[in-house]
Amino acid sequence: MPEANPMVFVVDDDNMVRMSLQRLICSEGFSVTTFDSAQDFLQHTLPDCPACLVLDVRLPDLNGLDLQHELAAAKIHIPIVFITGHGDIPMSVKAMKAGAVGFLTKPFSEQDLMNAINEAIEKDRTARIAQTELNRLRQNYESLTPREREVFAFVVTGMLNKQVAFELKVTEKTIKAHRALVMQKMQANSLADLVRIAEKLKIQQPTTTLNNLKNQPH
Amino acid sequence: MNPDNGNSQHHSKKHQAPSDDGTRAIETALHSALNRSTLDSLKPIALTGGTVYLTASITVYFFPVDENWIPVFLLLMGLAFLGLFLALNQWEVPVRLANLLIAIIAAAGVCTCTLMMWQFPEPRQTTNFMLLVIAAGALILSTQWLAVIIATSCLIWLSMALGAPPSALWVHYGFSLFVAIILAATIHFVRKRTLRRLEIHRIMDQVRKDRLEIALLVVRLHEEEIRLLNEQLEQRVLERTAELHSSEERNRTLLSELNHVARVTTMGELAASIAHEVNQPLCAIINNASFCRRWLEKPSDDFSEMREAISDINESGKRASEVITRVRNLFSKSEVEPTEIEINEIILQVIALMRNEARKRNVRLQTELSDSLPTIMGDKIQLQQVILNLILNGFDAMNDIARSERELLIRSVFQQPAELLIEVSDTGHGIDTENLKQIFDAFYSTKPGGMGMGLSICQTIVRAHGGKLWAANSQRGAKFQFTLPAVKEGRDA
Repeated sequence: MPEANPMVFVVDDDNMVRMSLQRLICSEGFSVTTFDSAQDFLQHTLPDCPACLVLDVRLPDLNGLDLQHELAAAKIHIPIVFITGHGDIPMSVKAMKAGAVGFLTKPFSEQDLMNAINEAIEKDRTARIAQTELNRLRQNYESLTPREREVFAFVVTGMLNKQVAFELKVTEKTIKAHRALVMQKMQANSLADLVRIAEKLKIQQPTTTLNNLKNQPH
Repeated sequence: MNPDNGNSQHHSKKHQAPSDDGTRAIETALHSALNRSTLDSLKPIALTGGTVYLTASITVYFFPVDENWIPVFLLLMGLAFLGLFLALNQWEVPVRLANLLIAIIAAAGVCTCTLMMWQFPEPRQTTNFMLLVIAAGALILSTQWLAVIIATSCLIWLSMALGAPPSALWVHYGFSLFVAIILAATIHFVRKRTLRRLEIHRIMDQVRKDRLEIALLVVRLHEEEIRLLNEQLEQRVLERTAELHSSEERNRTLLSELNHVARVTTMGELAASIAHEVNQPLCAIINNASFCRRWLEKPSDDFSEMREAISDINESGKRASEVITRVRNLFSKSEVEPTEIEINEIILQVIALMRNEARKRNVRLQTELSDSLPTIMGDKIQLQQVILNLILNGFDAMNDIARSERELLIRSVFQQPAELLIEVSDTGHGIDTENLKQIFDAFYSTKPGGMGMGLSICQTIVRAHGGKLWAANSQRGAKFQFTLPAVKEGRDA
């Protein structure tokens, strides 16, 4: 799958460390952009390619962990590899809990850094693919008519056409036609496929007359 | 009897009572004396003249002497109204002009009254006489002699025109003038007396005002001085505040410095911050070295990046070494500035810093500082470090003692021949005899995680001050004592 060169962003206020990281990460074949403060990074628009952030915890303006929070609040889901001059356990736990990929203590080995970066990039890539897939599915779902959506919701609960027809008070033949259209529009090959798609789209289970009957107290 | 006449008489009496006129005149004079509005002063005169004339002319109008006289009376009446109007409307008419107008009205009044006296016999004689006197009084009071001359001329001219024997007119005129002059003189006298009294008041007021002004002047003169003083004061306050701030700052740095030293024994934050400072360049070195290795594995023609990486390694190495030097300097604290110090002051300063810590650790801090100790020469900060270190050691020694028994005592005494002894004793477990000698060695520590620097540093400092530091066990715990040579004899020692 052709894609842009993965990007690595480095935020560290120490000039020497920043330069050395840029050199090292560049030699691994990543594009590197460096920033000396969290604010600078926040003002930068992220490109549409797999990326990760190598972030120093101690920064002059905004603490690395705070930046992590800000990014999460802004719904920017870029994987973060933390680096720190002296890290303690609570700090690393906090960072990892908030979704950091790695927490490296300076000086770290080249291997540890590369592993963490690769892992982060891979994570971002997967997330991006999942996102693209989800977007495609959403688009497909958008193309359904309201009636088709109803049928879709009933079908994926495992109901037979006959039952769906009863629920929607139409003939079984109509349901059959709708169902075929849903399968076609959602690009699903089987019912199992359709169910998986429904899961991904988080389609809510419809309330059925049958269920209502069942739930009624005797 | 004409009711109108009586009415007008009553009216004129009411308004023209001589005493009333007198006070008004006084007021007028006073007003002019005080330089008030000129028209204010004219008002009473105009009222007098105007009302007199109004009454007279109305009387004459209703009992005409001759048809031909009516226009003359009307003209005179108009003049009277003009005078009244001027006075009442507070026009900015020059005072001389206004006075003249009023005088003319008054003169006309005098003439008319005289004529009427001549024209009408009893019983209106009395009324006319009174009116004449009042009009003449107003005329005289206005002090416009020109008007008196006009009035006299008019009278002569009228008497001739009417064919009356001038002698009869002169008798009436002269008599009324005589009475008016007496009246005026009385009024003048009263006015003068009142004026004098008022003048005294005015002078008193002036004096008071002057005094106030002088006071104000003095204040104003002093104001500059006061302002300067104020500025100086403010400046001094600012300086003091800055001094306080800086001393606070100093205290804070001192505290952090002291804490640094204190923490050497527990390897706390100092180690962490040193680690950070050293790790930063180390990280750069390792990264750059890794890059170089990678480059060597796949060499390219571009040497520039490689060269930069190597020079960065150099620089980072230097930086790390600088950090180490700084840390070493922190421990050695080589620069000593000996000043004259009172040891008790230093002890109290340290105690002030440690009070919180003592409370936190449930230790009772007690002092037995002997008064009037001689001063010593030394470095304040270093001696503070020593005392602080000994106190912290004492605190640490009592960590596993019952709270009620934790007690730290600091004593200072003078010892013959010329030295001070400072003692810090705790109620801990004491020091093992085998450790007693070693505790002052560098890197020897009985505390878990201790670095073994605290006491070693203390001893170095005390020795640098020409004193001795030693430890001993007391009945209840350990005591650390050190001596410092005194430079000046104490007052009582």
